[in-house]
Amino acid sequence: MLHHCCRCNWLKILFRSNFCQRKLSSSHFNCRLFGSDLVPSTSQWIEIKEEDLPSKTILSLEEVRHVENLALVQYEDLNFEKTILEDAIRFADILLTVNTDDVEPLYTVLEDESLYLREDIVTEGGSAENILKNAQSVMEDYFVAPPGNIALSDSEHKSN
Amino acid sequence: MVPSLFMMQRFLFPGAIGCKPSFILVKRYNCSSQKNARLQDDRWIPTVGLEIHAQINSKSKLFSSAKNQFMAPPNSLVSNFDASIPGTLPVINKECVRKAVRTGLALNCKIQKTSFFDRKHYFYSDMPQGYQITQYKHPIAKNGYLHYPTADGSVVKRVKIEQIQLEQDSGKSMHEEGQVTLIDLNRAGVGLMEIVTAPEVSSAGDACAFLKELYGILMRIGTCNGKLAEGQFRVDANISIAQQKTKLGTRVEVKNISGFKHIHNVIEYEIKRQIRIVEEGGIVESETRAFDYETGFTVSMRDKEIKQDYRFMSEPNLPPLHVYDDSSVTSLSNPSSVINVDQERRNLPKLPADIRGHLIESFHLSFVEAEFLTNRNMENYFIEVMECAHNLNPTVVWNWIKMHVIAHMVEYNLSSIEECYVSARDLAALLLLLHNNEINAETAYLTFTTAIQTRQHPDKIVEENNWKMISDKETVTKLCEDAIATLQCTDAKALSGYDADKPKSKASKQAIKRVIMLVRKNTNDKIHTGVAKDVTMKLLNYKRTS
Repeated sequence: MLHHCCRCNWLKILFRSNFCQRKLSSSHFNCRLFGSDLVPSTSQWIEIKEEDLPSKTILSLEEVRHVENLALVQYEDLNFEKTILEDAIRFADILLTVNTDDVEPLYTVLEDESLYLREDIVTEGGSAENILKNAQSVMEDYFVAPPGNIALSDSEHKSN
Repeated sequence: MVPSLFMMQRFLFPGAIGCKPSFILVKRYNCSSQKNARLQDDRWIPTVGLEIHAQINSKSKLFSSAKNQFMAPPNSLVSNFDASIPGTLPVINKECVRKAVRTGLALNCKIQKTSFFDRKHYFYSDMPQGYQITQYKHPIAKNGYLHYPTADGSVVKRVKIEQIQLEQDSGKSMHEEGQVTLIDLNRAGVGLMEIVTAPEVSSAGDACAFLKELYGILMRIGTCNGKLAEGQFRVDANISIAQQKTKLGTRVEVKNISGFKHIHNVIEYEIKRQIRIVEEGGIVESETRAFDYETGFTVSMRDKEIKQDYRFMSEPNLPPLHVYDDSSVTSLSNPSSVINVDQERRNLPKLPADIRGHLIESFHLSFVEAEFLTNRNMENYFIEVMECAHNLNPTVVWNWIKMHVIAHMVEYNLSSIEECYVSARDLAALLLLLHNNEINAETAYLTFTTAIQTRQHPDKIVEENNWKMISDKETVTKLCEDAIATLQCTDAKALSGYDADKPKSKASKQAIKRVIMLVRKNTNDKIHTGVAKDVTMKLLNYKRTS
């Protein structure tokens, strides 16, 4: 019988015991197939009351346009976009109810790992053809892109 | 020994009539050079903060193992990761980490045992990922300082180094007549060290002096190749002016300046521009400006509407970067796979400031002379010459190196003093011959050029060519006496012009010249004219008095 072990995410064939045995790196994990102390057996739902949250963030149209520019997207209806954004922020406000006093921020789940340092040897690159293969527009082995940020013209310092 | 940080000045305490003058340490803010004196409007105190992007001298890039090379066919040194092809991940280059640690140690920073990487988001065609991997919150080195000499070494100032971080360089974009931009990703992903100073520099001259010292250090420890034309050492300047030392005005950022002369011009222009604005009653806007190399002006770059928001976030693909020291490295199974800060500290070479100090102290060279040798990595050559021949005048040696050795290296296209065709020992021998008056200046130069061509020892060359001059006092005296006697018989008028009281007059010089000419003729030009001149003068003086 195949069961999905909720702890270690492996499909294991259920033999005699209720335990799935799997070696994880150097340690040996014994997972209980159904239910552990950390995973609740029935679904839990905690209602967050509107009053417990800080006041809803209202965005100005300026700010919505600013976010558009940063994300390089553009919607047709600015007001609709504003509503969506405000609701999205509201939804995330739930996180503010969690008490994080004296808790170190988690930057990465790899925090117990150490960054591997590779030797300084050239092993990649060398084929422009390969890299340019998927490009929409190529000119003499260069990627072609729309004109970028160019300095404002002389009008400014002509007045100096 | 670190030179005095402050200028020592004598002051009478105000109101202390009749008190003995005391020494107070006075921190000098302004460089005494003339250029800055012209610019300085004493009501406005400029403040400059610098961010230096120095390309790391490594074979491959920071997070990919594509080659790091300046000139190459477009997009030929690009790995899948550099082109942001999905499914690729960054793998950091150990050599880049080592060089960053080395730089941090040379700049007296505290190396962080654990540092993290972040993403800095902005959109630009030459950065395919849409973000740059940098170290924003927790860089690899923090809180250092650098003492740098200004005003020809007479004033030493200090700047705090806020942090040094590892980050990626972007690709190159070429703008084609406003129509399109051509992107070359060869440079995308190359390792950079960003060195951030505190806003403590107060003039363009000081900024240049600091940058030159920093540049010299990076070259000396080999972490950056410093090819300015290749953009390996770029500077962003943050410039503001204020009326009081304690306050800071609105800052304007000028990015990507390359070249010391340009840096000086940019900062000076920007300070002037800001002073002009506020004096006309305006307000300096906080913005980013670009530098126009042709006109020398700074021009506004970004659209005023969009304020950059980099949305810094931790780089989720990179675990923390650990560096170790002697005590912690012992617990590892493979110590060579990591960077040991203590080992890097032991491997640090002597820094330019120490080398200059040594040259000045041991050989009494001036600051400019010491700087000259240090900047060209010629201090060991000079020291070896002096060690082979202790009696030589250091300035003479220095002059010789500056004029003739450098000319030789330029002519033969030699990049380092080790390749010089005349070794330090040989040069010492040559200069010793000159010092002992066994050869004169002309012959010395001839010997030098011959040594370059034939690679023979100077002593041998002089002997073979029979260039040795007669210079011992007895022989010279006898020859001069004979010459004077001959002239008095044959052409008495020749010596009549000599005036013992005015030895430098035209007539006197003419008289001496006649004697020398005769001696040269008699000795087949083997006489050392310098010695002969002195002897002749003495004899003629004696003759007059007798």
